[in-house]
Amino acid sequence: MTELREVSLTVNGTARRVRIEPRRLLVHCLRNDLGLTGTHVGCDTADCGACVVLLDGRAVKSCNLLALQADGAAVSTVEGLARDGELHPIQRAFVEKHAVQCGFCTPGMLMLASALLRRSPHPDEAEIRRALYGNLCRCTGYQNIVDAIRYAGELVAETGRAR
Amino acid sequence: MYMDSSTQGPPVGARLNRLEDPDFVRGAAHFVGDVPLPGALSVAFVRCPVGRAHVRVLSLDRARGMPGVAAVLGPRDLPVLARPMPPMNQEPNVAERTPCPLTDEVRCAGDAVAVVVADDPYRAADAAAAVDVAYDELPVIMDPRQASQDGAPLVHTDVPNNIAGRFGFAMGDVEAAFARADVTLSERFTSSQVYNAALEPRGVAASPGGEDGVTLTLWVSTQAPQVVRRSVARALGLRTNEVRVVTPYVGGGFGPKGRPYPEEIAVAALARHLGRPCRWEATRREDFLTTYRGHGLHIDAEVAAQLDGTLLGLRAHILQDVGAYLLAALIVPQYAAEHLVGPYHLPAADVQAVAVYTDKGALSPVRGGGREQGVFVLERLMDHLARRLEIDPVELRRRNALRAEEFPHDTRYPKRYGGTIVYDSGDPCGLLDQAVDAIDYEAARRAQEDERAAGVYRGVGVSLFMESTAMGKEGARVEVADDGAVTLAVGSADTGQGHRTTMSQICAAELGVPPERIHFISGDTQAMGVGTGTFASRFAVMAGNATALAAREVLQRAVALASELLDVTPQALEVSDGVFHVGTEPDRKITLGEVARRAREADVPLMTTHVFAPEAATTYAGGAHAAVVRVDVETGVVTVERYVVAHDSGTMINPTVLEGQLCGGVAIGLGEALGEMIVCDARGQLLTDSFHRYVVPRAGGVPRVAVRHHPCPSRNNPEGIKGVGENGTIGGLATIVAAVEDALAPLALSLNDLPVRSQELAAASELLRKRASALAHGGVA
Repeated sequence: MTELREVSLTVNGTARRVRIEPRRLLVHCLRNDLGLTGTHVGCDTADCGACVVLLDGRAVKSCNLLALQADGAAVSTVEGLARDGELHPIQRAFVEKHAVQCGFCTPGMLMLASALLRRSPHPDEAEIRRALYGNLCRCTGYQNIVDAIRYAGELVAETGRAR
Repeated sequence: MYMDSSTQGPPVGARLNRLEDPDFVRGAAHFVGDVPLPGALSVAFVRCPVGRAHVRVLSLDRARGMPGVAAVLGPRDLPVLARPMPPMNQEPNVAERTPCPLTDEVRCAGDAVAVVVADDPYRAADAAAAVDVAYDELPVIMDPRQASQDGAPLVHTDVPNNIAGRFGFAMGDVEAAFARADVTLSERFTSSQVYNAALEPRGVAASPGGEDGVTLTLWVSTQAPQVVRRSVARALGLRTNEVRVVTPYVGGGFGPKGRPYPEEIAVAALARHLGRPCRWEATRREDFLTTYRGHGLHIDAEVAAQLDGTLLGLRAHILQDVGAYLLAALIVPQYAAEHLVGPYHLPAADVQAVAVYTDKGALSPVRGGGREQGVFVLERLMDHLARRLEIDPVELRRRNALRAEEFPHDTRYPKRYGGTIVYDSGDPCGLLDQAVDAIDYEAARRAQEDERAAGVYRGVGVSLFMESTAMGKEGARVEVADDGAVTLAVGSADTGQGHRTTMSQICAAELGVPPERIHFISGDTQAMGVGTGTFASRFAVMAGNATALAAREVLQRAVALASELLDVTPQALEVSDGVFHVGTEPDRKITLGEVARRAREADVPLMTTHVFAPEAATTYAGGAHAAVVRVDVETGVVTVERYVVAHDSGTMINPTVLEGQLCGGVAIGLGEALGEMIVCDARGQLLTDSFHRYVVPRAGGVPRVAVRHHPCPSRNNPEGIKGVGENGTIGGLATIVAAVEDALAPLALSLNDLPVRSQELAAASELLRKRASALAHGGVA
């Protein structure tokens, strides 16, 4: 019988504590132990990016991290983007630029974009496409996602919300 | 009666932001893995990794003893699991063989031999790994050509020559055409199997129970809940209306999620057997292994023409590899065959097709559904003919293409079940002009000579096609409640196409209420049992018309009742924002809700269901695509620099949503052209089982797609809508390969085998590299 381990982490600003098997992946901990099903599982080989979350501000693939590795860390998921029910500029940008079709890649894209805009507030198209290398989309052909991220940079600058 | 559109909300044709998107961007949209199911058990399958085997030993004891395990079953433990899935198509002269949820006779890698149910997916996987299986491996049957020969081993012992079915079409005098031709070309084309690569792997959940006579409820990541319901009900011996299939949000489908699967039956049976909800979610590797696959055609085709390029006739033989089981009838080779006729004057054609079983994963339509194969072959032949006759490829197409005034155009090409293929409306010449203009074809051509001299290999490719869209039937129910709330229920499921938005736009335009106020239900067989599925580019056409007609009927009844209640003639009424008022007396009014309440009290609720099921549902869309690519002759790597689509999809409901479909479709065509291929080894084991090895386009690899709209309204449905979902892929595949051939024109390649791979281009380009090197050293090329 595997010994359960306690993990303490901050998720979207709230302190959470879970008792999990050491082998439990961070993505499953977020989805099933913490009920945050916005982060999706599209593969388990870190190829598709549907599971991207921020760990201490860096974009990571939560399907290839153990929950244990998030012990003591601050995790941000898609559920934490909106504030008081109001959509984050990145979320608004995705809606306005039709960057969503089936929606499965969307949370990972949003979190990846969030990390990108923090380090590079006004990326050009080439930089955005490079940053998106680790995130797959099968529906959109990417161009509206690229447009949404660039527009989000403008919106963030306007509203002063870098998050 | 006058409807004030400024207060109604945008009508059909508006670029409305999608109503479903706030849920998606908040991470609040539930896919099948997110649906809360308290107490649900996790299901894991044990699958054979090789292509053909007999299970010699199956030992479940060790697995049964593992922690958290509720059950471990083999084929003998539950009879329904060992029975073949109910055949869905049952066409005469087609040998339809279906998989069993569990088997001891493995016919393709991925066939399940045991199933585990446990309290947690990790523990289910642990127990699955503890199932002891010993296989007697048998030689795999992989080549469909060999498989159809006399004496070849049989995938199914009762299907002679592994032939699942045959069909043929012929029109005109093909023999005479070839006899009098100035030039004939005869070529062979092949395509490997391809994977849909939906971002969400497949999944099913089932729970015993439900309301109103439902004894079993399923949640499925599917394009076609009615298909799943029929399959599961038949397999379990239940009445259709005892089974409810609910479709949560679906993370992409592209065709293979529109067919029924053995896992649906297994999970449903387990839920009933254990009396507990059960959920299965495929791992990505499992999804690669078990999701039905596209392509897999071998096409021998010949074309006959005059010296001036006028087409005289076409002959083709299609060999379709259907894999180990038939879950998609002969749809794929049929679409391929039908699209060999094209947008051209073609006086004679003879196309024969045979579908053959092999020990591979089963066939499904994948975006394009076979149309892209027919278009690929025809367009390659056109380009090669142009090369042979030294006519510009665009000019050759212009000489043969149908003109708008020739529509409706009866191709005289017989359809499989009667009648001929009639293109209802279209403008191939006009589309071609648009694409050529948008890509700046002349400039691309002019630049080529200098570019080649400088060792830059850039090419421009074009494709032109007609595209069959829509079929089947679709139901829409529109209901107005006492508070004026409008409910719209349609049958087929949304897998990313924005159905809530597009259908609400149509309903809103009819009823005069804002689209965001419409409560939209789709993919729930309890709410609407009539639907064929979201594939074949049919939803906008079929559900769009059903919705428009249902809403119109409701409005007409509401107008009649409102005019009675207000004591005016219907003509005097105006409706805006859900309120009927008399134009000349603005205080004399009644709300839609009040009308609904009065209707309900009179026992005639303001509700109607319209099933749109016309005789000739199929309507022909069209496309002309053009691309500029650059080939690196050192590496063979292709960069798609520019891409344009000129399309005719009839009436456009939401141009932004439509353009998204085109762009996404092109990306899939690009992937299939330049590298997507499923590879198995000599034992039938799947080698391309992850995104490392099966390479789909990433953000840096897909160009911007520019779109030119060129609508010719459909003549086959009241709203004039044509489908558009597959246009991008159908054109993308042919266009990109055309551009690559053109880029390497000095080599006069015939890139007939899909995918076109950089290794092969690099090898073929050796001559060009040598020339370039010689020139660089001052030598003679």
